[in-house]
Amino acid sequence: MFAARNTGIAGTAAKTGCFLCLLLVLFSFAPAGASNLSKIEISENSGNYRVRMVMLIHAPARYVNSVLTDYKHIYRLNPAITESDILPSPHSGAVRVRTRMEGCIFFFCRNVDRLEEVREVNTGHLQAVIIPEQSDFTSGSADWRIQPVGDDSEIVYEAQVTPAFFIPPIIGSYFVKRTFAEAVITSFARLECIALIKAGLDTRSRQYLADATFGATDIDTMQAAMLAGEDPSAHSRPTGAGYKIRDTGCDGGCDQSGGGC
Amino acid sequence: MRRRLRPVWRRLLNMDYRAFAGGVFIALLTGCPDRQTISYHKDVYPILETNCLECHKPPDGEGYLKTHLSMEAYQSLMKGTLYGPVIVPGDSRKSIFNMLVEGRADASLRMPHLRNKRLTAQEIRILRLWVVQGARDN
Repeated sequence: MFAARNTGIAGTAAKTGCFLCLLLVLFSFAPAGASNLSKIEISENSGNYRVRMVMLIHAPARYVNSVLTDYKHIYRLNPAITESDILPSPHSGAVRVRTRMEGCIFFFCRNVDRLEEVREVNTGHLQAVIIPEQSDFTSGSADWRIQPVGDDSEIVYEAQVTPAFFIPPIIGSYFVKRTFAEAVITSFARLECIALIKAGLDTRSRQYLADATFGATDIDTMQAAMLAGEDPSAHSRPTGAGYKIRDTGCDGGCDQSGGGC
Repeated sequence: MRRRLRPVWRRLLNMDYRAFAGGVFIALLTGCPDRQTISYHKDVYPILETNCLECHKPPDGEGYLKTHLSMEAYQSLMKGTLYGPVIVPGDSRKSIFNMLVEGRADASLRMPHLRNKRLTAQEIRILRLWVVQGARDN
C-alpha cells in the first residue's frame, strides 16, 4: 500500500497529500453547486465517510437523469476521471462502472480505482454499490433521487465510503470541507451544463421534425393541438419566427475546469 | 570529527560529478526522445488529417454532426465539442482527446471509429506529447 512506502516527514506529507487527493475525488460522482446547494452534511466515523446533499439544478429532471445514466460518458462529469469503462453485471438490470480518478494536492498525486454496481431502481432513483475487491475502498454505496421542480430538478444525494488506504487522523475540518466543496461544485456545474445542452438539442430536433412535418409550427402549440385532436398544421407560424427554445447559455459548451456553461 | 567529515564530503562530491557525467552521457546516447518539441502543423495535423478529418469535418462529417467537434483547424479542435473543450493543455491524462484515442474510456468510444482503424503507438505518443507540451499552435 501507499502508506507503507513512505516514512518520516516526507512520508507524513505524502500521506496528507493523499488524504486531500482522496477528498477531492472521494464523492466526485456527486454533483453539487454553491448557488444551488440547499444542504450539505459531511461526517466521518471510524474511517467511514458519509455525505448527504440536497441540490437544485437548473435543468429538467429527465435530462439530468439521462446524463447521470449515460455511464459511457461518465468522464464528462468530472475532470478528475482519467479512465472509465462499462462492465457487464451478473445481476439483471444493473451495470458495473469502473473509474480511475486522479487527484493532486501540491505535488502529491494518486489514482483511486472504483468499481460500482449501478442500478436504476425507478425513474429518478439510482443506487450504486462499490465492489470492494476491485476498488480502493473496503465498502461504499450511493443513492440518488431526482425530483422535478418545475423546469428544474432537485437532487438528494447520500453516500458513504470507507477508503482502503491510509488517511491521517487529524486534519483541519474547515480546509477539508472547502476542498471537498470545490470539487463537487465542478461536478455539479458540469451535470447542469450537459443536461441543459442535451435539453436544447432535443428541443431543436423536435422542432425541426415538427417544421418538416407540419410546416413552421411552434412545438408546444403543435403538441397541445394534437392532444386536443386538432390539426397541428392549422397552428403554423411564419418560418423564421423563432423557436420557443429555452435559453441554455451553454452554446460554448461546458468549461473544462470550472464545469459551468 | 572534522577530519572524518571532509574526506566523506569529497568522496560524495566526486561521486555526484561522476553520476552527473554518466547521466549526461546516457541522455546524449538516447537522444532524450520525450524532450522533442512536437509541432501541431508538422506532427499533429497530419495524424488528424489521415485518421480523424473524414468524420470530424463540417458540415456533414459523422463525428462533426454528433458532437460538433471539427478537426479542420487548430482553433476548432481547441474549441472542442458541444459539451466543451476536449484538450487540457499540459495534461494529457485529463484530456478527453487523449483518453479516447488511447482507449481509456469505454471500448465503443475508442477513436478513430473509421473502419476500426487504430492509431499506432507512435502516433498516440505524438498526440500525448503535444498536449503535455501545452497543445500549442506551433
